Amino acid sequence: MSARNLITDAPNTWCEGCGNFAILHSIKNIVGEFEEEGIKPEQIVLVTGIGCHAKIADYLNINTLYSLHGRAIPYATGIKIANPDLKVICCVGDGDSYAEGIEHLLFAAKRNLDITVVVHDNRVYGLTTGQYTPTSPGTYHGKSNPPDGSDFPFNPLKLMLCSGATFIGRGYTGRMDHLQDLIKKGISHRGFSFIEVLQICASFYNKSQCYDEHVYDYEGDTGDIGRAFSAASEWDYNSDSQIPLGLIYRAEREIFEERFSNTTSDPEARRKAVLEFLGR
Amino acid sequence: MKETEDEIEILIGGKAGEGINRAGQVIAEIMSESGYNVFMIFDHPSLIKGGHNFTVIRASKGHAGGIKKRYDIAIALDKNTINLHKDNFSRDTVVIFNSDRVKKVEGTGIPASSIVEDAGGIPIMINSCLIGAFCRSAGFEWSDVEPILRSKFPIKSDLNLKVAKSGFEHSEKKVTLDPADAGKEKDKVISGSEAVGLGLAYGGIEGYIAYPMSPASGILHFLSSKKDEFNIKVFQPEGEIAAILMAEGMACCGSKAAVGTSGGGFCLMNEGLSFSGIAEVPIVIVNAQRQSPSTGAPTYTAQSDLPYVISAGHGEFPRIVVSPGNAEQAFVWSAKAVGLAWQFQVPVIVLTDVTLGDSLYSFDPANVLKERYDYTASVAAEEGDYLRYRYTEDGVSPLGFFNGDFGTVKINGKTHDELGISTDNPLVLEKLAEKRKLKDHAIREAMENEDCIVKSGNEGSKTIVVSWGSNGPLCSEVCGKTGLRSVQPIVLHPFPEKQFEDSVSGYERMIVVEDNSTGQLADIIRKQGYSVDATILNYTGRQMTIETLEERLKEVL
Repeated sequence: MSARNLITDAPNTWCEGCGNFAILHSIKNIVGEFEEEGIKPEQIVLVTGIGCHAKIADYLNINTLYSLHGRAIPYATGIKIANPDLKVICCVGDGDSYAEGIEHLLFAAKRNLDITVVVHDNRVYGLTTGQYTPTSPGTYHGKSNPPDGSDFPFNPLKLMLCSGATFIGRGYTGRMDHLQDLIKKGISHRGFSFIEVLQICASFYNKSQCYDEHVYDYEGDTGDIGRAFSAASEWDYNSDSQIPLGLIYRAEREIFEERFSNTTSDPEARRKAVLEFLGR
Repeated sequence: MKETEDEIEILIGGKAGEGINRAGQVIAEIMSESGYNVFMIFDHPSLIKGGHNFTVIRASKGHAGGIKKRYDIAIALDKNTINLHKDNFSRDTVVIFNSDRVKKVEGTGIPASSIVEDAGGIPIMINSCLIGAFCRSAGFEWSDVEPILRSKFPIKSDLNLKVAKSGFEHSEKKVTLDPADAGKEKDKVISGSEAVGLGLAYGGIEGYIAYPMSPASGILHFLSSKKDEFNIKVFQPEGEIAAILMAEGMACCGSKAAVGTSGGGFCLMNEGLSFSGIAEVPIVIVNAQRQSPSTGAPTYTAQSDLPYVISAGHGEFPRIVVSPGNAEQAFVWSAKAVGLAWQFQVPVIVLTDVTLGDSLYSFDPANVLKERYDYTASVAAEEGDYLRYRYTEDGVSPLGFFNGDFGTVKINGKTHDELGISTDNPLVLEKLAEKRKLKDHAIREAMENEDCIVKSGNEGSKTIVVSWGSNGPLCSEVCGKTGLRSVQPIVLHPFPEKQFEDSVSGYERMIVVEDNSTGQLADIIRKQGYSVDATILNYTGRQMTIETLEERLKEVL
């Protein structure tokens, strides 16, 4: 067990039945397990965006950077540039990282930044009371869009495959053990790990029954990008079909932050170099 | 012309892509190594090939705070250079031109294209040939300039030298320059952008993250080329939003970082700016101003972002805005910006412009190294329960970083308690706002210990010319000549009230000179309770010449 309480005293304000609890406890358990394996909680940084998901920063008693809507990933990138040895987890929302922050997600995958992105995808804006997000189905009607529906949803797994992510998996908050195992594998992967978490929103978009009926454990060849595309395409976030859960794709590629690893932080050495440039 | 000259002004012009900037730089360095103070502007439209590029090099024994209208020597790579600038020629202007390309012109025609071809060179070496011709026209001996040119032609230097010597021999002496000071330690010639980069490095940045945008790109290019020597992590991300947030991510790990951009990119950085304000993450932002709103005139100058950078971002939070005017000031204040950002855990904005960024200046390291750079960031003890936002008397909480030494570190852009956990509690909100006010007060006090204002000219004059940024050196030179008092505030926010009061004491007339159409600094000065009797506002995208400023001063005196 962890040597300290990994949950803060902050009062939890998530709705009863919210999928965020499963993600919170998964990450808490993983941090505890890492501690038993010799990785201190201080070596981990959690970066969040803004939305219901982001409250996890207040609830977990570990290093956190509670950032801006859609912007967890650039902060995480800066952290890894400064200190490649830290383990960085980004908890982000679907509205957060698939809408306002989409470019950062794609570029982090492109660069193979060694972080783990856990997308709390409840397919609705919860904290702002139920507007449609990039993964809401076309039939979704919220306060901000007309009854004749929303746009066609993104398929985040396919986006990530196109962008160069080297670890792509899907979990479900209704299956916490499976989810916890997947996130831990993602954190242990050296490179950009993308974990799409199907999460129910108890207040605005409770899809428990649908997910429970359609999810299944994917067991295809995770090294074959063609198979991964097929698996990612099985469900289009719009119509009913089987939903594969688990690791979809894994590859190895040079990581982004390696290019910054040979820099020292000695300010005197830097001043000396400037003086030499100036001929002094 | 006089028997001997103690200053000289040289034009070199041609098409974009012909190496005009580099040629100007070589001439500036020849003049600098001969003991002159140089200032060189580079005027170029936003295109890669064709168009008209030119540089003007002013080399003077005294001030070189701006350029003049009359050229002593004009070097024309094409006919356009002569057509466009002939109004700035006098009877005495020595015109050196590539006679293979420029016809029916009086002056020193050098068959530069043929010389280069015969020597087996490449077209860009036409510059070397004309530089050689310039050297003789300006009265240099070949034995004096040969070693200088050799060091300036690092690639194919023998061939370049051969071409330059041929140009030299085709020319004749026209000007006799006053001999240089013997034994004077040589200045460097650097651009304002390089000076900013050097200052940031000297101030201790470990990271520079920027998206390309004129006129700030020069800093990115310079630091990228020096990243290994200076041990700086340099990176170009997907945009300005990412740039500032990545730099702040670095700061959360204790790595000092800076970003650079121009107005449009600064707009995108605003949410990161406000984040720095509430989460108290130190950051240095260089905003290199360009002319007009939006995309505007990317390669032309203005001083029109001052109220914007002072008030950018939402909510209320302290910040520091500084605006250096030449390379030495740019070095000093970029270095200080890093120290101040970390001392107070606030955003510090370094406001430059096209004139400062792209121009070359004489730079005496001795002048910048005597400045004070010993800023102390308050870092938490590495044990005990760490509170990222601990309330203190001056509003500055001890810093702790994500490196395992401080226990749990919680950094938060939402309103938060001392630990960093979100709260909307009205008492805490009030306390947080007061924390920012305390810090603002502490900054104002600390800035009293800095030399926030550069004073020059005739200190006894009751007429004061106030300017800022790159207009400072120009006004300083003109005031020196005309017996007026020049005041250039470098720190613009928080406004250095006491120092400004001292520097304008006894004034009867105050004239404010700015490169904008509304008088942005004049407004700030009026709000401080001073009368501004006249403004000289220039918004052509080009800095005024010495003569233009003198004429416009006469109109308002």
